[in-house]
Amino acid sequence: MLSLWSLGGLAAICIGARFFVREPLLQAALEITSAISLYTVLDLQQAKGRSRVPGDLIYPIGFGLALIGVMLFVYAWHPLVLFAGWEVVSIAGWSLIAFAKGISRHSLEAAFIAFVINRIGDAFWLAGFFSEGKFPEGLWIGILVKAGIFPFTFWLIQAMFAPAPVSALLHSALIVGMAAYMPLKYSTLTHRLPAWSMEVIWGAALGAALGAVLSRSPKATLAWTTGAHLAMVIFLSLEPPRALSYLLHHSYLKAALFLLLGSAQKEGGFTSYSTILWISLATFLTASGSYDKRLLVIEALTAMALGRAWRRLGYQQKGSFLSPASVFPFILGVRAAFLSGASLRLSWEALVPLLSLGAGMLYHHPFKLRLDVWLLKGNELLLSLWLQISRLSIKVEGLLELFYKKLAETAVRGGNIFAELESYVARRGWPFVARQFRRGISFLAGEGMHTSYAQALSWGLLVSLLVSMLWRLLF
Amino acid sequence: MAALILNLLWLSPVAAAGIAFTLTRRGLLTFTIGHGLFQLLLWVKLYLQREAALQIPWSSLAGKTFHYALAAQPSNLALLLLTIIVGHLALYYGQREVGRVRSFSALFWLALGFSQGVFLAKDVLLFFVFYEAALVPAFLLIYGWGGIRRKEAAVKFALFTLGGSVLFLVGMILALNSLPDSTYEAWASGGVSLAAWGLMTVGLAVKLPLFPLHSWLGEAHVEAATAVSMLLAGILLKLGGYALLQWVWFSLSSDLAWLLRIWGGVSLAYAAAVATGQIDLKRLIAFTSIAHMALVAVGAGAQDERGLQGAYHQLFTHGLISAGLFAWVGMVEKVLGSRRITELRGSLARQPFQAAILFFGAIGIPGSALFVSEMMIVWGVAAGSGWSWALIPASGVVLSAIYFLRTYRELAAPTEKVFPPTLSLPPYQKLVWLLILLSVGVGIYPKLWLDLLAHVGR
Repeated sequence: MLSLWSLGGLAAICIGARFFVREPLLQAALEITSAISLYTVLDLQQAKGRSRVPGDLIYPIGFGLALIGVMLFVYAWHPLVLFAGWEVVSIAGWSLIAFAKGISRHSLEAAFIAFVINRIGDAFWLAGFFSEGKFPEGLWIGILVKAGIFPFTFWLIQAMFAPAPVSALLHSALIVGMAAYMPLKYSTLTHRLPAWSMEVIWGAALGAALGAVLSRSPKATLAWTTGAHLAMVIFLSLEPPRALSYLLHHSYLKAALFLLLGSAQKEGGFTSYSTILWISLATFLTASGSYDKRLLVIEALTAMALGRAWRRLGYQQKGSFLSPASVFPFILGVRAAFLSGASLRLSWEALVPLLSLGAGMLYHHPFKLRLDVWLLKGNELLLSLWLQISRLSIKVEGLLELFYKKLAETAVRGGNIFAELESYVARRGWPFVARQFRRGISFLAGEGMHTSYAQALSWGLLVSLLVSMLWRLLF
Repeated sequence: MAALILNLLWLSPVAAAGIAFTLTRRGLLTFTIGHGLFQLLLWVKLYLQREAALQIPWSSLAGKTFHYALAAQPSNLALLLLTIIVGHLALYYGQREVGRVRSFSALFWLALGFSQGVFLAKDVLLFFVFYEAALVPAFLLIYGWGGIRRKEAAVKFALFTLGGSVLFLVGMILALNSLPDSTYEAWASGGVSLAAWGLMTVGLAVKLPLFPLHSWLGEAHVEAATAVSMLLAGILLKLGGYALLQWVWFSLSSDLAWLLRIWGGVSLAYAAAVATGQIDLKRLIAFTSIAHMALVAVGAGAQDERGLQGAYHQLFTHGLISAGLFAWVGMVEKVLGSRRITELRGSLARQPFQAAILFFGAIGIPGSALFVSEMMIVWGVAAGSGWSWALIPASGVVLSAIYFLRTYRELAAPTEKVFPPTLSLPPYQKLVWLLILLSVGVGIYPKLWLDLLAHVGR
């Protein structure tokens, strides 16, 4: 109950705060979060009566954390605060992925991969950020990893394990969108990329779009398309206004698509209402980039993938005409239309994505290629390399301990040798010296061995007397 | 007044050690709280006046005068507070569970008093006296309370630390040869020869500890009682780090700073690698503290004042969170009867939050105290030595996430094994939450502490 109320409260706060905010990304984040929270309230009410560890309270906590992260990021008043915002968003992602669907080995694994991969990017990000412009590539690596651009997409696809609202949040303006926003907001820090790198980014977008077409599950398809679209935002970042409008457009519509997909999955297929909504949202999303030939290729591929995702879930006659949970995708779509209505131009090229969407919906191509599995294998390889290093250093640790032990033993042994020498001297040495002395005296005394002690003593006395007399005489 | 407070800061624990023998366990618990509050009051008074110093000529030898010089300056105020808070918390919870409580408390207070002395000393010889004196109660605490192999661990601890002290002593005497006297002013203004510098660094690296010299730490932490582990990780490791920053690496213009950065980096990677593969939870946390203290060495070699400030701050922040981690492990061991990760699989599935917050605090997420200090170190290294060097401390950010979250995954993923319904044990639970709260407080408003360090390195 507490979680529902706090989610409602969060939504109310977001709607209220939205009117006081001028920052475009934060505006979008607030609006999207309010829609997602209300959707989650309905979602959780339907699933009432189950008991889960650690509880549904993770939703408001995670959503709030993500919002705080975006807020810190866009209003950063200190370099450390900028990075804090950048990080808080990852932590929100971790906690939502790990806990939102109940705690399990799979969820923890997905959250682990997402967080660690992000942190690898962050290490480079930090080096680039503090280099004062000498190493902007580091910043870019961090951005590409966090935005899930092609080779780094696999953590996003793993994260699809989480329920629909969480995926919507991950793929909207809040988590990955924030990364793509960085070159627009802090362009003095990131510098401009050289021209050739834009070709690479375009290639990454193409790779992600192909991955989307070839992937199996509808949610994974959506995740792949995010990789393609955010790569396009970065591709467009040479013209900031256009990139920004594209990014916001994508954020609203992708969140809407995820929510729609979530409710369709719950009902076992698309109803007629949600099919219409799906087609219009998908067309609207992919037609927005149709003014450029190179973008059009990618848009056509992603549209095809979205059509294929629809086909995977299938159409069902039954079911409510208008489920309460699919209202929010509609609202988000309308909002996106208002947002980009001014810059929207109708052209013949916009038909290409529509046609390929239709092709995806009608024709089921047999190819299956799970690129993300390969990428995950690469990730596993890296991790196992680290585990190998870890095993090796534990061995080194054992050797080191053995070395110190041997060192201590050697020291003790050395001490023992000295002690033995000392006791040998005490036992054997002194009697030996005394014997020799006696023998010497007895030798001096004449006939050797037969002389008694008294004789030796008297001889000794005599000798010492003589010596002292000599001494007195001479000195 | 200032002189009285400075003296009381280290003498009142020593006096308390004497009083401890006359009290019962219940009386001791009350007295510990009272004494902690009293010391806290002294600290607040010092904090308000920021600087206090006291210097009395002590004796002369070979034309040099040694002083009984104590001072509270902004750079050691945070560490004095750390000793008071973590020390008394650890002592309070130790007193609730150990046997032979009077001698335990007395030794603990002696360790606390001498640690305060180390932080306060403004004369290198006095510093050394305190540094050595703190070793004796620590040795006896490990020797007398803890696991089965504690005696070996204590002897190993003593031998290593004494070896380090010998190196430090030789280096110190070499350095003193060319100085008029042994006060901090003379020490900081006069040059220290290369040999002395190296000897002192290696000597202190034993206590910090850095890679090949860390061998004592794993065993000492694993075998010691929970309260003693908290003392070791929270306070005694900081003596080495503080000495390194205060007496050896205070200058930014050292030619050998790159050596310390590399040494710290190797130590960091090694400790992280060993921690990743550990199956004993306490040993794992011991190695994470090696990794965190290696960052202090990297910050000391940053050749930038931000790195130095970050290193000072890291001593404080890591003291809070590592004490919390050891208290948590103590609780887990007490409730579940084991520290082996293989036996604890699934134990956190029902109450995952406290451990998650604690682990994230140790990873150093924004809002936790470690975040600020680690970022200061990265920043300092990038600014002072170039961005490529900054990848060394930045890699710590990745590695700590790997070993803590892997452990968390092992402990929290549900299994068929049935565990007791609750992990919490009243006194420990509160202790862990208190330390988390302190760490979060320091992390959310770091300005208070960073302002104290603003003059360092300038």
